[in-house]
Amino acid sequence: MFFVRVSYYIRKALSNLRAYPLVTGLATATVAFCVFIFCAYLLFLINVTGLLTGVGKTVHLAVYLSDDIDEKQIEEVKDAIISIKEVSEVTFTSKEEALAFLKESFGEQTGVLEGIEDNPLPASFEVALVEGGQTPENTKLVADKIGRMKGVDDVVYPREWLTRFNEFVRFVRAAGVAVGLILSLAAVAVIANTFKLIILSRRQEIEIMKLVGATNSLIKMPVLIEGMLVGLFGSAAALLGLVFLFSYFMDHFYETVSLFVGPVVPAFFSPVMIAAVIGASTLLGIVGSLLSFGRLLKV
Amino acid sequence: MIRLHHVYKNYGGGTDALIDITFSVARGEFIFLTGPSGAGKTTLLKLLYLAEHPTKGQVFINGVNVSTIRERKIPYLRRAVGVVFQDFKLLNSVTVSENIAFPLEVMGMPRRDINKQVMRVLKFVGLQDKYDAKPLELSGGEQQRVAIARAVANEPPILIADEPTGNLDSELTMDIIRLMNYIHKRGATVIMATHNKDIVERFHKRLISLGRGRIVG
Repeated sequence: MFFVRVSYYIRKALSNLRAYPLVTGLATATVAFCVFIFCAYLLFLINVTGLLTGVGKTVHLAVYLSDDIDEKQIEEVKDAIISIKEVSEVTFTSKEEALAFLKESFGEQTGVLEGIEDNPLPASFEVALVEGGQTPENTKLVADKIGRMKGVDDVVYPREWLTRFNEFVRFVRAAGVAVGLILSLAAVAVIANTFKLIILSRRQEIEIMKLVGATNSLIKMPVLIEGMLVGLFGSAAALLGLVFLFSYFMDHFYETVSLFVGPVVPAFFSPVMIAAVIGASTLLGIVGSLLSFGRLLKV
Repeated sequence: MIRLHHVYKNYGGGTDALIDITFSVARGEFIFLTGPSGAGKTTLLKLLYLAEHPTKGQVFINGVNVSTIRERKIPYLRRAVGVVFQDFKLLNSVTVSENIAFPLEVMGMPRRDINKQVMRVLKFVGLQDKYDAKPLELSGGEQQRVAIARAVANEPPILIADEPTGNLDSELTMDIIRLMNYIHKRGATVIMATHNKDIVERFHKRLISLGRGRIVG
């Protein structure tokens, strides 16, 4: 009996898809459109936040050392800096290296440095912070800690820029979530209404089924399977479209865009993310079709 | 088999659609339900196939009190009642055989048995050649026969027909009545609403007459 029922549900769902090609086609296209818009936005957001995080990572602290400290003290300062948990990397630049770098950057005009007898440049450490640790508060904390160390003359970092940049990142994230929420709510509303359309097109059939003695589950199950298939194929079509668009972008526009944003390679969704989108859309199909019955089953 | 006890039905308006209806139908009876349009025939039949519930009074079908039945039990009681609707209520998007298969699928009958039974009832109503046609490709009389075939497909003990000859000419009307009579002779309890006096006079069956919601004869 169980297998008879299950095979009936599947057969009925498939025959419904055949019997109402326009409505189910329209529903699948609507789901595909909504999922496409939402995913395209999500992909954009993920890549923009990725890009901003990349930019944030470039924030370094320059730690200038006093001229009167010896190598042993330099090592001690280095160890002390590394022991700070927000610090990921410390690179040392000696006075000589600093001068050589300066000369190199002057290029042909290196003559302007010829009159200098003593090397006025200090030795320094370039300190990189751990990922997620580049907030203005964190950076200031680390800078203050290092500034108090013996043998450290000065700590320099782009304080003003970092504050503004972080505000900008926060704004982009908040706006991203807000727009994402609005988009997903709109998508859910449109998809729910589409399922209502499917159910309404079956109104007469549902009434007849009830009158010949169909139980509610017998009426609901095939529609639930239909909703599931519409959600599944709709989201799969949307993701395929997005893959196509993404590779088109990479082939034709990425080179131009990378001139402005640097060598950050845009990422597509991970397999887990793809599975999540398809799963969510399928679930939405099931829930949407179930909720759309409303009072129709009260015959 | 069917018993109505002081049944009233009000759709929420001022007047009652049915007033103090009491009668019983024994197993295997054939009853004509007559009366002018608006007398309450369709409402009474709706109570019998559970599309409506009485406002007051009790309806018993197969010994089950319809007023106190649990909602999830209703489908199973409905399967004991085959209904021929005045407007046929056929699904135009599927074929004749798929329409007839409906109540059999609902019962959970295996596909192979369904096909056999559908062909059997199609033969019974004389439409075996039309199994693959869509209802709109058929004449009115043929559509009515499909509706009857669907109503008797699962061989229910009770058959209810609401003006099954309402839109048909006199020759087709007689065909349909003969078919109903045949179903009755095979053991079904038949209740048929009609306002066609010729039919009532020609076939001598028990008669319940309704007038303005009351039994008048």
